[in-house]
Amino acid sequence: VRDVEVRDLLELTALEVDNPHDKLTQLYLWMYDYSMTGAKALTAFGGTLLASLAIAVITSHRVGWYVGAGFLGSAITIGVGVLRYVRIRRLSRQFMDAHYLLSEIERVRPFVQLYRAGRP
Amino acid sequence: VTDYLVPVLAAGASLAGAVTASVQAALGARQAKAAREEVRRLSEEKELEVLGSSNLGRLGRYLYDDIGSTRISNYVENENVRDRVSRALAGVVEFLGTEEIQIRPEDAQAPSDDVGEPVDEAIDGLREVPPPEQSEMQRALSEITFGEVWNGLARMRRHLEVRLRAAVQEMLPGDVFAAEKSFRARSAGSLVRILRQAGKISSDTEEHLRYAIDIANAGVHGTEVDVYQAQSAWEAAVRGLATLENSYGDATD
Repeated sequence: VRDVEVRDLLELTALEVDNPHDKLTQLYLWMYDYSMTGAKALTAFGGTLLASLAIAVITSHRVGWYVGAGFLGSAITIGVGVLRYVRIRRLSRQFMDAHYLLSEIERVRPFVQLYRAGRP
Repeated sequence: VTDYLVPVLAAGASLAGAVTASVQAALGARQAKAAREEVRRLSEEKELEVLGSSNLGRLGRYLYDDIGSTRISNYVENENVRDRVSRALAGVVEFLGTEEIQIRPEDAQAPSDDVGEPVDEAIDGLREVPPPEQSEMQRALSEITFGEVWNGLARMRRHLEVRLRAAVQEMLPGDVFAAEKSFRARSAGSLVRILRQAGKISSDTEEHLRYAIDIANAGVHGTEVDVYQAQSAWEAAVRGLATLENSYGDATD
């Protein structure tokens, strides 16, 4: 998911969107859902690979270097999923700071609107 | 099938691990590179250059292209990016309007003197002075008259701020001046108020300067200001500065 940039906040201000702070909150809620779904899906995918590989190895009794690589790959996939899950906590700080920056930008709303309209 | 199940699953899991690790590493590297770019773009030199140019088009580009391309995630996670964006944005906000109350041009009270003829004379005079040799106020009038009202008002206000700061430094006794610790951050309007309260300028001078600053603030902040109104503000500024220079002379004699 694309990161929110300060330019997005300028656009929210310039376009006179109805209650931009609400819209920003909705955007972050959507980002939260999207990121959370991605992290969970990745973790579940890695877990499924790990479990399938373990069951296959136990039932077939086949062991080789590639089995170790498979377990390692599954573990990395799970690890990245968990890492993404943990990093989602940072969204709350981004959310707070984005609202602060939006408030600052709103102080110069007329300038932002006129600049965007190509006036200067 | 079971003979191939373990190798196939192992290969799939290895591939998945390699892909997710690579993607994650690439995203991390891209984020770090973007943060370095953002720090480079928001240099203090560039900020001073843009704010000192009195060109609102450049200020807008700086706001949209340089500050605007900063990712909120970098602003949160990178201390350097955070400092630069905070400083740059505060500089822009202060430049565009530090007055607590934004005054619309129609609310600003024009000085009682008639305006028009002195401005016409000054415009005629502009033709005799090539642009590189024009003073800041002549450039401001030129911009106001020839279609860049915004930039002209910004230049005029910048010039007033510089002159008023110099006047405050020279005219106020050391102890009064020392009390105004944050004077560098003060707006032109506040500087006029300080000088008036200290009895260093007359009410006429205050009226002229206040009118010019109010119109400039309104224009720079984005309110519609017509050419005539901007020219009358310019003339008020010239008159205010002339009497300020006299008071300045009296104070330093």
